[in-house]
Amino acid sequence: MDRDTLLENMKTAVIEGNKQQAEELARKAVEQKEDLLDMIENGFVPGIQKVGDMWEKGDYFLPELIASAEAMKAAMNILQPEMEKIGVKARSTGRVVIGTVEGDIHDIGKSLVSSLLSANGFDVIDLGADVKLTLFIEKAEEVKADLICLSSLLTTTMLGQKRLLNMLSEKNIRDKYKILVGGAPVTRQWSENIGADGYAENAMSAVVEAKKLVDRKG
Amino acid sequence: MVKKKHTLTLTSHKKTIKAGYQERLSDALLRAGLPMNLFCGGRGVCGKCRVRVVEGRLSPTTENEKTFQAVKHWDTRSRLSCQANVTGDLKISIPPESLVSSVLDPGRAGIPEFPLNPAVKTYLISFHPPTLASPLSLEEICKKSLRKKSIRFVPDVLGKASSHLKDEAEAVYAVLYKDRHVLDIGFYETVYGFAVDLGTTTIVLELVDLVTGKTVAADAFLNPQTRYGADVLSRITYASSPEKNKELQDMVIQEVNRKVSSLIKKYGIRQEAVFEFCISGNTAMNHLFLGLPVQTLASAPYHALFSTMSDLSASSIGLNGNPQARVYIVPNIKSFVGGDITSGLTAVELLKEKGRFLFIDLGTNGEIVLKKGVRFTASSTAAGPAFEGMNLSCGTLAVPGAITKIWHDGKIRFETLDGKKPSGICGSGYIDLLAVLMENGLLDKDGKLLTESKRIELAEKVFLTQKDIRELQLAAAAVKTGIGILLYENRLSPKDLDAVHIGGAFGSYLNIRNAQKIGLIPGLPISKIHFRGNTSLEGCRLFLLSYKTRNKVSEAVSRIRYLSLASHEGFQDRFIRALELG
Repeated sequence: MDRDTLLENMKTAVIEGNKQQAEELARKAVEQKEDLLDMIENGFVPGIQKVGDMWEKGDYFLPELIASAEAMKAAMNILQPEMEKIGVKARSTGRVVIGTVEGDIHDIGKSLVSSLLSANGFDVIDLGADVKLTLFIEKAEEVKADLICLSSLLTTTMLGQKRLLNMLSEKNIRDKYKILVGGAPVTRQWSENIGADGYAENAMSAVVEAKKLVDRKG
Repeated sequence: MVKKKHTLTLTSHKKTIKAGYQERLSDALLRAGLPMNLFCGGRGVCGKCRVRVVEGRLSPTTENEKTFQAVKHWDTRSRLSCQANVTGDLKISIPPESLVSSVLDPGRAGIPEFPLNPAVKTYLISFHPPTLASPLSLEEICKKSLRKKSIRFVPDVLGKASSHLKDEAEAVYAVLYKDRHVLDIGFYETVYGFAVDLGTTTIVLELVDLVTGKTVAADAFLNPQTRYGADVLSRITYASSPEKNKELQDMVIQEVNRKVSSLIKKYGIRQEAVFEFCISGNTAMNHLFLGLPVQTLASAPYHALFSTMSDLSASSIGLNGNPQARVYIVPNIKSFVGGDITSGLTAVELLKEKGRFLFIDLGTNGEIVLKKGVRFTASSTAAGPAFEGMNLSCGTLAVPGAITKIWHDGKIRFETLDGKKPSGICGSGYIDLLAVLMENGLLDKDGKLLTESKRIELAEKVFLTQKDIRELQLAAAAVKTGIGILLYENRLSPKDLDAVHIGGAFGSYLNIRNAQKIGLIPGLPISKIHFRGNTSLEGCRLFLLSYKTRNKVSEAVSRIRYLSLASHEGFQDRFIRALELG
């Protein structure tokens, strides 16, 4: 398969959320000794970008989004080890610590953001749900994160987002991280009130927002 | 104290009020006694508190307001009172739909038969005044007359009753509670009780004659706490301090008192003749009703302060009735499955029937209970208020003008409640609409609108958007996932069910076939699916009229297993799959 066909097929596999196809194409690229970085950046990445557009337009919904993210992830799982072997590093968009704040066991929205961030090239450390506020900070310090993403699905646990920001300020490390908040009851106004750096209304906008924040961080 | 230096003229109400500089407009309006509809708790996301600026200016338009202006085709003078601050003198008008008003008539469903055995009964007593030869005490006279030695009095009742000793000519009655405690002695040929369906959104009162068991009258009104948020959680958030907790309690108790007194006045009933209140509400609502803290309900591991509450005196929580009137709180199952579901299960007789049943109460939270033999599993899904019309561009409760039914005969047709001009779409209307669009190839199973415009117009300013469909998919998926997991955990499939009972919000408007078409309700033969209307109220009335049922129910409820869906390992996959319509 020539390069252009390969790239075109990769893009299509991600758009259609065809995991098996995405994996096969990744393997083929390895076999053919293609430039893997080129494959990712001009094949799979345009695919996931197109998925984002379709979400924006309302043509795609959560099931399609997840299938595409899964296909992307599966391809990356094949390509990354190969690239490491030859000493090429895929560009990481940024390092993210993510979780649902303590007192809140809702996982699904946060997990979705987590897999979309991975699909879009972020290194994601997903701490799960009902995560102690101190753990967010410990982990972010440990992995030198760029971004901390906080999810709350209850108006009651939203307060945890505010507390975390206060804790960071008290420790004088507030400026080390960009903080992105989200979850059904969270609004832009809330994120501004508590002094977060960004707010995302849905999983796809979380990716857009995260990219902006990391760029701004430089 | 901020100085209230600005004058607001309400052209719609021919009224002027004062407001402080930078004061939130909704705060100023609420203070002036205008019941602004703060459904979302003032977060600027429901768009229900719109005002229109006639003259003057408010603080700059927020992003949320701009969104509403765009989506709803409001002009730039339309603002959300919960978002805008007062910055100077102002003339505004408030459209009627921005104010909280009474909604809905209580539903009526076939109720199970049971022996009339209320906790409060009235007995005629014959007074034989004490004689010198045998100076019996009043207490002894009553016991003798009632032929019951075990009855108990409180001093107040005896004191009051002593005046009747002289009224030999009149029929005097003793009102007994559970055939044991004398609540009053006087002219009580009839006594009354109230069944109270304490809904998060709507409260329904039913005035019941405890002698005949007949319902005298009913009234339905909006829970006044809705001004602090449409859903349970925003109210829990509001009740963050003891003072605010008390405020929420006072608010609902006073509203119930007002409605009770206007209802009994209308039927010429004295307040003294009201002897019992049965309260059926979800766990948060009954906790707030009693003034109990609710914080533990909203944070993992989400526990309640009580399941079964001892009987209370009405006066202890400020309810007006006879000074000795009693209150029974229908027991909760767990934090997210409350007394309203206990009532529902009682109303549909699931606690005694044999077989495999599914009970679904569709409201803001969809509670689901599965019965398999003697085993019960209960669960609650965060369906969100979409089926109550919230978070949808033209959603509404079932109020006059709401589109309740939609069908297709070559063209999309609809019917509104009371035949009024269409003002919005209610839950049953949305379900019909999705089914109709699917049948006509305008909507695919993934929920994608296949029309060019991505928008379905029904009437002037009444439409459906792609985003609305997504909200509805999420709400339906939550219910579907809940049902799926309960069946799975009990190793049952839908066809194993003997019946599905549905209670709650939809009332009689829901079209079962359409609900099945979008996958909300399991695809069973229609003969197995029963609409039970307001089962919380039905069950509550049953508890009021048959108090022995109460003893059994506490025990039955304690055996119900609660299953947390959100922490179920299959939840995420099932939920995503359930998003597909059908």
